[in-house]
Amino acid sequence: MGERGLGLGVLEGRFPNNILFTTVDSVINWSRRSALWPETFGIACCAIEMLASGCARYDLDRFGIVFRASPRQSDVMVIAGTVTKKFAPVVKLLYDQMTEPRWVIAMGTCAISGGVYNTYAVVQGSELIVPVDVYVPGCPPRPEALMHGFLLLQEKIKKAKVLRRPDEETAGSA
Amino acid sequence: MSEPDFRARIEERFAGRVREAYSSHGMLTLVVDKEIIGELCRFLKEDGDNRFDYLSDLCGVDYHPDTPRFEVVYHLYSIPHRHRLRLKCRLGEDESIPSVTAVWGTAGWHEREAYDMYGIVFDGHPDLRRIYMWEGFEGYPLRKDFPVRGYKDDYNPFGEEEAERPASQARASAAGQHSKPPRFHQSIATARVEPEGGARATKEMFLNLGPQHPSTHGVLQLVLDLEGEIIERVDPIIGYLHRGTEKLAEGFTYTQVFPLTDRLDYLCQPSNNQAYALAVEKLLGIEAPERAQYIRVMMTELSRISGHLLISGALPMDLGALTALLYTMREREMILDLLEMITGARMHTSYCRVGGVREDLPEGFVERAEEFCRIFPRRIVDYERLVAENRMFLKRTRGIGVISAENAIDLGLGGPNLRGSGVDWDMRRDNPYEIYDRLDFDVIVRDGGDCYDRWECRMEEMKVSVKIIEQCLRQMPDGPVKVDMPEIAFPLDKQLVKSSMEALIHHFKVAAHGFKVPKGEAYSSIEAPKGELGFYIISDGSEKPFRVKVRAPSFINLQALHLIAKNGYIADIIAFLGSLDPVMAEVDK
Repeated sequence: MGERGLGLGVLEGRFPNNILFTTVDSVINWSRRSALWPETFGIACCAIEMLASGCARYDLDRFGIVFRASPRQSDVMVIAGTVTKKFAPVVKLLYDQMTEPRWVIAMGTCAISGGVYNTYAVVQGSELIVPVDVYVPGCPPRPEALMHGFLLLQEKIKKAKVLRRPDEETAGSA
Repeated sequence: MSEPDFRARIEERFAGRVREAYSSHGMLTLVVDKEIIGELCRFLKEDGDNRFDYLSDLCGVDYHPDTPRFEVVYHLYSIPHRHRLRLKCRLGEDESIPSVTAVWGTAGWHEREAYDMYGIVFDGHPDLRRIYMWEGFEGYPLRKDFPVRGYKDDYNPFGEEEAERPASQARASAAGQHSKPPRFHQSIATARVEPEGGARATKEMFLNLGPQHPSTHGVLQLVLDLEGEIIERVDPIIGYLHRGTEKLAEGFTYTQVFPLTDRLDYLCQPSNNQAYALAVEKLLGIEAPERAQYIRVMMTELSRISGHLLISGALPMDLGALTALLYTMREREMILDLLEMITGARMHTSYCRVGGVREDLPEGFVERAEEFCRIFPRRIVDYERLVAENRMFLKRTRGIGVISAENAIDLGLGGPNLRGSGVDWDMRRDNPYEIYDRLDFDVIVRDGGDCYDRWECRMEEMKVSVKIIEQCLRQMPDGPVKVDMPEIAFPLDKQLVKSSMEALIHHFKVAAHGFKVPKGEAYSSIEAPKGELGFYIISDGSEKPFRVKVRAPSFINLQALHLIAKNGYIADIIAFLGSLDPVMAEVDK
């Protein structure tokens, strides 16, 4: 798991923390958090709840969350189910195929820690493979919980420093 | 043929080769020499009085450190005569056993599973390689000397130290070879079968479908061998969701296994709970009270509707008609609401207990359920108008992926997949369990055996299930919902725990240690939404099962894919797969 980029190449993290770049960053973050496109990628039981979240009653579309079938087109990977050792290289590969910026939601106890499946076949937590941004506990989490996870992720994106230098605290000190 | 006659006939034909014959929990069991297994199975299948044409299950058992160490157990069923038989063969660590793939096609994957999990070698098996674990994995996980947590590596900090691995489990592998799984596309190499004479013709190609593919219903990889658009051979690579349920169950008490059964077929949890509870009850020789049986049956039928709803919406979605899924999921939410009302959980209900169910139905449930039964049949009409009159859908499913009745039985298919091929067999009617013999319902059969017939079977079965639920609601008597046996179930009146010392002790014992189950073995199966769901449990007399084998219908149904995909178009593979309705968690266990 190397450093994670924010997808702006050389411009990233080079500018001072002043009113101009605060505004630019907030526009970038607004656009990013308003159209989170997760991968259509389900593993186990949680995938059914993920599907339910996208369907008639819960309707994730109203948050701008639309499922995409290809990792190349998506921003978010929802790890919905048990990651086994046999499947771990695939999860890693899919993460690598996503373009930056990219985020990961670990949905359900299995994805978070392996859960009850502390066995010879199961990876004990998906953070051993990919960096996880939001953990959604539950077995499986209800669709509302997954939505809350997405909202938390949006909060996280809102605070991200994209063009601004990450270590600077006060505005205008550069 | 009566049991003594049958025994005598077998004894006469295979004199001296049948070591033992006994009846165990209502099933005749023969312990035979492994040399005759092929011949015996053929005889049992073809002999007119027996006609054991359906191999329900085949599994390995490890009795380490006893010798001979392994046992292979066959569960046979006769569709014409509706009876069962169990065969057993003992074999030592370095011995092999003849394969029965030539007798029943379904044995292919079963034997691969036994090889993968126990290292039992089946002579004459056409394609004996690992099925759940990846090639290169060291050890055989279900052997008793393999630790449940496996051995330590990057992905599993809780495993045992590699240094402590006994020599008996290590596979012969090159020194220093790591047992990490390969990246998935490399595993094609194991699936690749080079034609005789070396080089392949240029127009043939391999296509890798999955493991991440929106239409594969979970994590399934299909390696397709193509000639232009025509599929020559398909090799499903499964095990991407193998979680070690059976191994884990051996370390759990009988009650703790319930949550694991939920997570097998995660669309129809109550039916899994029911099948497992029935198997343990068989071992204990008890029966749940009448009211509990009605509740279980009703919940299984509710879950049957919810499972069928998902797939009957997902099949058109996979074929490009997304709309149906949005409608079927709307009704599925109604069922999830009902389940949540009873159990508090939308999906993983864990509601059954050995000897009954956890608690009684909540107030107001009956009205809600009746309302559902009123609304739902009208909605089915909507789906039929939406899908069954859709010309595109008909073109892509009618006459596509045909399975003949003979092949369906040979491959051990179950549920709508079998009945869609014209085999009139439903265990709810033919081997009734719980209170199904008091209910009046039809068994839906279609003769075509194509994708459309399987889909239509599911649609019609939903209507039947609604009728069953209505009857359950009408007939359900009042009374307790679990057995009055304090050493097995929590007391009927929870308040008793506060006033009676004895009740408190029992409560504590059941909660902390579980209950002991008498030594023995039992196989019990139900008509789950996907087919025959069976649990084969061996008890050694302790609180934890010695061996739990799940006869998972999806696992067996998926095996039929190679047959129906052969010479089909690549675009239709999605229809084949969707119409077989595999749930990968159940396939991989």
